[in-house]
Amino acid sequence: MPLPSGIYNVTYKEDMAILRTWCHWVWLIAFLAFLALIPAFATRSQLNTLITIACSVIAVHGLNLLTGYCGQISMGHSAFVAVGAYTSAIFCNNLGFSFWIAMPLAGLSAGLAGLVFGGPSLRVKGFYLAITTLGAQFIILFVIIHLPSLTGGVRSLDVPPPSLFGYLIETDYSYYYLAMPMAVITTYLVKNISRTGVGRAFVAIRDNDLAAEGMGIALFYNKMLAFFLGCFFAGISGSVYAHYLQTINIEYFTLMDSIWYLAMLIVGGLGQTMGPIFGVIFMVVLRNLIMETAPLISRAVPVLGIEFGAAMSLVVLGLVIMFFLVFEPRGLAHRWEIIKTKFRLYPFPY
Amino acid sequence: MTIFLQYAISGLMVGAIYGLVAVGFVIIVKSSEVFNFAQGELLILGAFVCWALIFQLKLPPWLAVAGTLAFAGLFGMVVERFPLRPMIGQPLFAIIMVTLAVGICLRGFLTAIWGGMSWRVFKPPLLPPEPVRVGKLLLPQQHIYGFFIAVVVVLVLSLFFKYTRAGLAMRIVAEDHKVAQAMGISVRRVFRNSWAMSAILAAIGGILLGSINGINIPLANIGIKAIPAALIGGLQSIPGAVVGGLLIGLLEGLSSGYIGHGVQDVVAYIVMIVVLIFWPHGFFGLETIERV
Repeated sequence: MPLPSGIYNVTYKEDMAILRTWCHWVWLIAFLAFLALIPAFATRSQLNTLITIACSVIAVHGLNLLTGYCGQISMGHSAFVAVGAYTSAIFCNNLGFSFWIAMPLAGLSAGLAGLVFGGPSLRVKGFYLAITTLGAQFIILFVIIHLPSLTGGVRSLDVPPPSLFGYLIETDYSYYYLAMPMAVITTYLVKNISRTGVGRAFVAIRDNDLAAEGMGIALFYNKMLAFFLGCFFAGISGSVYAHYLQTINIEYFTLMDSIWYLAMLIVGGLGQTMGPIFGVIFMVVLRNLIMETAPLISRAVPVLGIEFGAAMSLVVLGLVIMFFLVFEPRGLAHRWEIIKTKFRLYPFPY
Repeated sequence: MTIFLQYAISGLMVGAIYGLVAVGFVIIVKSSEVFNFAQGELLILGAFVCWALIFQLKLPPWLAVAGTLAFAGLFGMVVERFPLRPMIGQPLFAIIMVTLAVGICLRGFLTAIWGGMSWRVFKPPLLPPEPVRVGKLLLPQQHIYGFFIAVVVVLVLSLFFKYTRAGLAMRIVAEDHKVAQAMGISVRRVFRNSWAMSAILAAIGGILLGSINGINIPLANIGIKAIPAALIGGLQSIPGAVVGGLLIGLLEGLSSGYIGHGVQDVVAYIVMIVVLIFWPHGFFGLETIERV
């Protein structure tokens, strides 16, 4: 990280610090204060978008650990989100657990599901593993549909809102203060996981797994850890989102949603902590934009037919993925770093 | 026993079509190391175009099929030229995601043009629908035709790879790009040809499946099943892809008959995961030894 002129790292601690200068602290505190104050002036639909963003950020952070850092392509991420959502709902509905116990359990069960489908990563990798996780998508949804006594099958399942000290968190306004801190905590955790030995082992496995093994990294253990952590965050995200919506349906966790998660990761930038945040904001705003403009366009040009909205979101999703892979393969996070560096070094070129 | 044979044979007949689409997948992997996730969408593209030519433009069926295959071939070449060629040398993840994105775009366009969930049925059907009786078995005639068309296409392909110059060129490119170039073979042209062939095979599969079951957008998910078929057979082997397709078709027929309807959608993936754990390169795939 280039530092402003006149500031030098002289100790290891300084070199590793996330917040190096007082300016960093000011920006961070200002940003967190801004996040905390948003509900004071945001409308209900804006809050709704922000909560969606917060939940997706948690899930994509998990995907980033698994795919971005460890290089294990997961094409079934929304299935693991579904495992979290349904576990949390079942624990709350059938066993009467409180949300605060059900949420970690949801994360754990999604993590265990991740271990099951990550198991083949011992023998296969790359494209083969991608197809195995694609299989996970279909198999998990199949299991959920065929356990109607627990999950309601194809019908929707009601989820109770969480409560804290007898206060029911069910409005957009109060739920924002649950979802957004969760996203912030997850970001902090993932940032720190990526800086520890585990994170460096993940990166080594991504870059060349044989070389990593040669350097003494336990390949299978670390791959399984990546699967567990990635799917754990997916489960947490599913739980938080399910209790926000208060009703879940199998329709929310399709293959297309998994591809949206991958697209968010690609747009944001793989293997960077800021990536999921930028990617999720970009894609959620884009999706809302499509959902608002598509009915207007199809009303103005009736030739396009009634399914124009669905078609347009597919085409735009595909084009965005292609565009970013061809022209900006390191994502928005990389662009952000370039801008920050320029700003920091101004007026010098480097 | 009769019931068992009935399930097994009807499964095998659909499996032949999976095998056909899987061969298309394998051809691209062999020549250019690209894993084409848009195979399912290429399949419904062929089905939709053929349907539109026959029932919206009122062309005679043989002309419509020929037109569909020509269109599919051209479309394959276009896909190879625009999004795939800039990706040469990029990491695996990027290439997979680009083909996936091509598939999603295609799905979007098809939804916009022909509507998403509504079924399009070939009426009157391309192939005669009446079932025939063989002993005690009741075999749908469409499936028999589909099976034989798939078998003939695969046989023609294997002869093509063995005896024609273009087929030999494709085989050497699959072996080694540099050697191929040294022999004066244009690797680009071979990539283009293999994409065209793959798209044509997907279109044949699409027309067959479409004329048997009717077409809608989720039919593309059946096209994705060609990928487990190719993986079970081994990604580098054309006979392997056929065997994988037949195996998946057989297991789907048996499981949907004996366990219950709906299982056939996941059985391909369960079998694939089990096979990959014990034979990581599939049954006939190339075992690669990696060095650092």
